[in-house]
Amino acid sequence: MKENHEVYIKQLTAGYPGKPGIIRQLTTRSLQPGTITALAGPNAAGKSTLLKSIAGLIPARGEIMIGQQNILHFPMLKKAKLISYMPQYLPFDISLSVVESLVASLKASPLDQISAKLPEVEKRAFDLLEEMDIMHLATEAVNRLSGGQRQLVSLAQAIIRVPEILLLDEPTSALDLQHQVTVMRWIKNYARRGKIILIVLHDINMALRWADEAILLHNGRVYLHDKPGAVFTKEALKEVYHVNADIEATASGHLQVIVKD
Amino acid sequence: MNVQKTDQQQAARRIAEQTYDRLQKKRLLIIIGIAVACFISFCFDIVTGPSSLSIQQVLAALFHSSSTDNATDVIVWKVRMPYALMALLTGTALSVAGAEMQTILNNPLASPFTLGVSAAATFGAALAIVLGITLPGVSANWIVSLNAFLFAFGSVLLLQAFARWKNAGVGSLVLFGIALVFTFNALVALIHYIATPEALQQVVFWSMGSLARANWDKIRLLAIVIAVVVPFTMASSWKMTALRLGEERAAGLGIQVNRFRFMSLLRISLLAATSVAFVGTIGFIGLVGPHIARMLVGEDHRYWFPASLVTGALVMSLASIASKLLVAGTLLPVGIVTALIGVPVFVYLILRKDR
Ligand SMILES: Nc1ncnc2c1ncn2[C@@H]1O[C@H](COP(=O)(O)OP(=O)(O)OP(=O)(O)O)[C@@H](O)[C@H]1O
Ligand SMILES: [Mg+2]
Repeated sequence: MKENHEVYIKQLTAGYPGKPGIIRQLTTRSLQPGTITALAGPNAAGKSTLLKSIAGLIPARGEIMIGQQNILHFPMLKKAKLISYMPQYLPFDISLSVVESLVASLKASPLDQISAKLPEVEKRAFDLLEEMDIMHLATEAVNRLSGGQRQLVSLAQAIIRVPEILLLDEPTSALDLQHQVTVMRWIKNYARRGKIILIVLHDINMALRWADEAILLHNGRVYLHDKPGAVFTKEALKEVYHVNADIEATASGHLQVIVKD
Repeated sequence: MNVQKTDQQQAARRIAEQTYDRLQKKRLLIIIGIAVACFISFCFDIVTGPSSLSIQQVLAALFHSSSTDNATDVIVWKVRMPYALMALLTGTALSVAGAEMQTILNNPLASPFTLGVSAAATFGAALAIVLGITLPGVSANWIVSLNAFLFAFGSVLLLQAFARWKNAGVGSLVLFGIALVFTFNALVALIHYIATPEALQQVVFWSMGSLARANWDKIRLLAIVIAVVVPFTMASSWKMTALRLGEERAAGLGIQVNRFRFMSLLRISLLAATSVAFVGTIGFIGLVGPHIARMLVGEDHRYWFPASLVTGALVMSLASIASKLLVAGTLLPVGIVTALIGVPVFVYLILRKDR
């Protein structure tokens, strides 16, 4: 599989047993290597479902093209080589230290690419903790972390494999302001290495601030897919979220949503 | 995220790495410590018993068996050794089976006993005894064990199907397991009712776990099963740990979760059914062993599996000793003792779960 290929999704339909068609005939523009695409939309719009179907965790029909290849029906192992998915929730009753959870995230995979020797893997785990500035959590038990810390660790578990395509389901929803910024900055740097990032964000101001592109999902379909400034308009927010809001430019030139009563 | 590492960062990393190393070493030491305790308990198990032999007599029988009188020889080699070894082996098998089960069913209350696997094996064995099934060239002992295995495996499949069906949570899975226990117990009771006196005697044995039928053939077979199965269990450690991080995450790593689960269920059935087939229903070891192990070494399965193994063996060996000492001069069925230890732990786990 060649790296640095654009990805686009065509006519994708996905759902759950007894609940088919949560995602219906969904088509996106191309997702470019090196960019962050924000995925927004109301609760139950199908954001998580879309990420899971791209990651191959639930059955889907349609096309997920990487370059000329439809990877939808690739065997899981081949997909796992390319894609890493950070779930919205991390199970919280596990007595495992943070380093152990990271090491396991690498060593458990049957992929040759990452079945490295244990000391090497441990080194990578510590490197990542350092990079993410959470070295102090290294030997904490995962079940004793706060919600935000757990989210940071969950993110670390997803990125330790250095995937080409990173799917993040609300990685910042529990983070304080400082960590939101650190994490988004890290993600931005990661994207600049030629990776494709699709990130679910409920906070539209964050999407406006950090994303290169944005997809607004509504009832399992793409309502808009464009530059964030073009997606999150007064009209779109009214139509999709039923909220009256203005989009204003701040003094520094960033766009911002101001909700009116 | 700074490219330049500060001194502070380097120091923090050094401390974290050292703590991690120390943690790993501590876990290894704990496992070794419990293994040593197992050996001590095993020795103590051999020198205790209703027939009051002195330690010298036992040692003499062990090391120069020709120099002692025949009765001592028989007691040591035909009774105490097999019982003590069988205790270690069944403890091992049930505890490892319990540990695997807790991870793949994602439920700390899972064990062969609490979820009805032991009851199913008992029913399978009882059925084979009562129906007197025979196959040419296969000894009756084997057929009974085989049938116990088939029923154990069937019940494990049923549990898995239930766990997956609409994502049954912790509580409902345990309830379903209890339903299985009652069902199979009722069926065994039915068999009691229709069995001939000779068959009945055998069947009752299965329902009440006891080391009293341990012999060298059974020990050899159980040892072989453990020696074959446990390496596969150990080899699955990383994937098991990843499974604890969530099924989606494990699948995302390229693990074929369904296939992986199925192979684990096969191992669980082999371990649980073989031990149940030889010593009957011994409860709670598969629950208590992994639970204590989890508290001691956490859930990195590289450590947790071996820790569960030695803890299960130790608890069972201690139960075997207790079964001789609790009522002086009598040998209680060991299943009674493990239940006395196990029930409080089980209740504690349920209470903790509810918080
Ligand atoms: N495992 C599941 N089984 C059945 N239906 C599901 C499952 N997960 C989600 N759904 C349904 O699919 C729809 C979309 O859910 P999804 O989780 O994709 O929403 P979302 O956009 O991620 O919402 P949120 O912002 O709340 O996370 C919902 O109606 C939900 O009920
Ligand atoms: Mg979601």
